[in-house]
Amino acid sequence: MQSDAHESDASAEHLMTVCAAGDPAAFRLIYRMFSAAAYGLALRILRDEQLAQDALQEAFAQVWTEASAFDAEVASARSWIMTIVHRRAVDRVRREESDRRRGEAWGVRQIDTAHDSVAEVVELRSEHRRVRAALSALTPLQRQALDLAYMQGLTQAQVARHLGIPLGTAKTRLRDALQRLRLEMEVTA
Amino acid sequence: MTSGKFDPLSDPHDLVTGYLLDALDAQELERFTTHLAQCPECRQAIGDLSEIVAELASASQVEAPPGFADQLFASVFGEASKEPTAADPVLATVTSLPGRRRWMWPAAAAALFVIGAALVTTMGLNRSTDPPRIAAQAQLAQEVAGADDVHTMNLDLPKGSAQVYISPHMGKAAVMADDLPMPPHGQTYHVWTWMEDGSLASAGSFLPDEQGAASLILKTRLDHATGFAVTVDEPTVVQPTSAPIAVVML
Repeated sequence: MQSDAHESDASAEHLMTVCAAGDPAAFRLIYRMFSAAAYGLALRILRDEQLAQDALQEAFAQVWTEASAFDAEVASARSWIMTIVHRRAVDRVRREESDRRRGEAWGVRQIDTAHDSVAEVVELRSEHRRVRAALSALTPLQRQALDLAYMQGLTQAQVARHLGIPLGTAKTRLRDALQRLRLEMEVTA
Repeated sequence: MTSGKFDPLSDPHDLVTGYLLDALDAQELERFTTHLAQCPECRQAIGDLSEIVAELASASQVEAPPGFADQLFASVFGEASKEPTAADPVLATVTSLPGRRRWMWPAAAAALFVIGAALVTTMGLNRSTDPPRIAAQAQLAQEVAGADDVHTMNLDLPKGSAQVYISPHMGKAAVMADDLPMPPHGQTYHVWTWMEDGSLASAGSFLPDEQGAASLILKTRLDHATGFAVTVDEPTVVQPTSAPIAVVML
């Protein structure tokens, strides 16, 4: 019995260290804690259930095999895991896109639809409302750039090309968008 | 690293946002990760902003389809798993414990565990000697399972089947199980409520009857529950001492 366990033992960060030691039960818990958010993200990016499940599978396999690379000093478990999920999903969306013609053929979606139309099953949790509120504080141009980069998987250079703006402008817009989100979220935290 | 060539748009510090958003191309990514190793400023910036990006990432929650988790676990653990194969998976889990890393459960919410202790003791003593109590549990569990607003979740046990039923209207949750193997002598099934803060609170314990059936009304608050876990432990434990054999998240 772990009577002297620390507070952090209760956390996902602790579970990750147990995962890293090869404990399947810890991995199952990690999966249960983050899979809905992960699948939600993959669906938003890939807009296809099968592709999203493939990405989810890859991502969690990576979480399991690379658990020992997790460092709680550097990131939260959620951040570490969602980064992996995002990367796997973006890799896939880029692969899919590279199969088609680039350029005007990008299926451009405005951020409002991007956040509303896929995840019909979205739970309106408090953090979801918080993010939505923060997003609504961005300018339309910032939201558009953020959506193209983060949800549609475009690189900064592709965002610039797509919007017909200089690369430097695209970078600034994305940076400002993220800073603004941070400000908004800190206010509501 | 592609240093040396001057490119006004390629100040590596400038790539932080793109890195956070996965919006760098392969060359940019390589250049930035090299840069990152020697730039505390950029590491700091990433640390500051990565939680914001994580929130953005986590805003939509969609349950993966049923069966997906099993497939994932099968493929992840499949060839790598060196778990002993015994006829009885529950026994296999339990008997393999001393040899493996002990599951470290959270130790928070001591007060809840105290309540759990009283409860587990009571139930442990009453179970075999108080059939009416079991019958009452079974009847109440049936009512929860039959409630109009019931939510049903599958507990993915290694052997046998079990469901958690939650009726917000009744304010009660129940576990009903079938075909459960009898745990090793001196041990029982324990149900633990996984609370929002990560702590675990005892929600009761049970033994299956001769047919492997069991019903339990969970002694738990539902408003801060995020899931349930099942362990096989001694009747008197106030927190789990073994790895969960099943977990379900709300």
